[in-house]
Amino acid sequence: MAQHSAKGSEYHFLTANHLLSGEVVYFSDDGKWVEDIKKAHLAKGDAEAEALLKRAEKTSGEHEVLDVYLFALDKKADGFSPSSIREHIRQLGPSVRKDLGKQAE
Amino acid sequence: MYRYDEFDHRIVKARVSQFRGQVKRRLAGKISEEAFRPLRLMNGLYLQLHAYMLRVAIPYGTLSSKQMRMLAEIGRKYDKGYAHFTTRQNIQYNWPALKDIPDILEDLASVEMHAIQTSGNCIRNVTADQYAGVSAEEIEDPRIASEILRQWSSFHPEFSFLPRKFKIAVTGQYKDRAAIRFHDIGIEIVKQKSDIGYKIYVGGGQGRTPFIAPCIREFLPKEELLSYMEAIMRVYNLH
Repeated sequence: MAQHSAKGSEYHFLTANHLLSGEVVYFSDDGKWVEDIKKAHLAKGDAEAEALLKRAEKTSGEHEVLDVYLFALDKKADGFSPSSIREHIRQLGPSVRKDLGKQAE
Repeated sequence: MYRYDEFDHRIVKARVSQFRGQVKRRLAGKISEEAFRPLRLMNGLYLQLHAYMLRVAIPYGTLSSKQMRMLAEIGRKYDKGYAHFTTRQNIQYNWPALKDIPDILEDLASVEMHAIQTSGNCIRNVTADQYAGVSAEEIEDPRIASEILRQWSSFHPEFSFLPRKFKIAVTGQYKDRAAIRFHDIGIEIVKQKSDIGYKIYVGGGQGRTPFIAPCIREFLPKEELLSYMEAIMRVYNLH
């Protein structure tokens, strides 16, 4: 189900790339694809994650986003963050160029 | 350096126009991503972690000042003001938008450049070394053989859909600055008595299973280069 999921991870966000710009986007509570990970809809448990994926597939067209998949999250004191380094880098921007990507905004 | 003739201009222009139509259909939802992916890869367009990435070919690493200025202009106009020269003598833009790619390709075509065969399972950019044409130790300028191989491999009907990407490098002398033995085919220009020919290495590569290419032919006469390349490619394709 999740492309970048740690075994037994309880929490997931849904992500994709924006077709036009290639930007990383996240599926939000109100069913839109947004660039701000803080607005991403949190899925708890496998059933919710599966439902989230199905909802996104139903409402989003291939003319909007591509490569839609779930990724695992770690629960931290101040919220949720990606479990994998890959998703951290996707969220923030290139690790070798701190002046580029979301991390520079 | 090589200059496009009428045929080259026509074919690159046609390719740009073709891709423009493909992008338009993709954006209109008339082609699926599954169908579009191989088409964009054939035009050097990847989707990476943060954005699209366009890889532009710089044949054997040779650029004119006019081309350099256009590359810079593209970086300013369509990207974030920079581009990245790769280890295989291409250049990459890391933040282009899909809708701008046809215009970028058109700008590139205006200075005799393109992004064809820079990705996907095909014969990629033929590379030489950074001192090609100026090294005192050179037996012959490797860019000549590189250009012949470039023309031979571009749009080759038999080798456009290979099992994997395929990389060729040429060095003009014994001191190898082109890392030819880490390529699928490595070509060293050699001299036998008064004849210039090629020493051929095959099967090198990096990645998950790095391999140093062994020599399979000590001296290949010049006139046999392309037929020998075809034989290698056919064996590769078959097995």
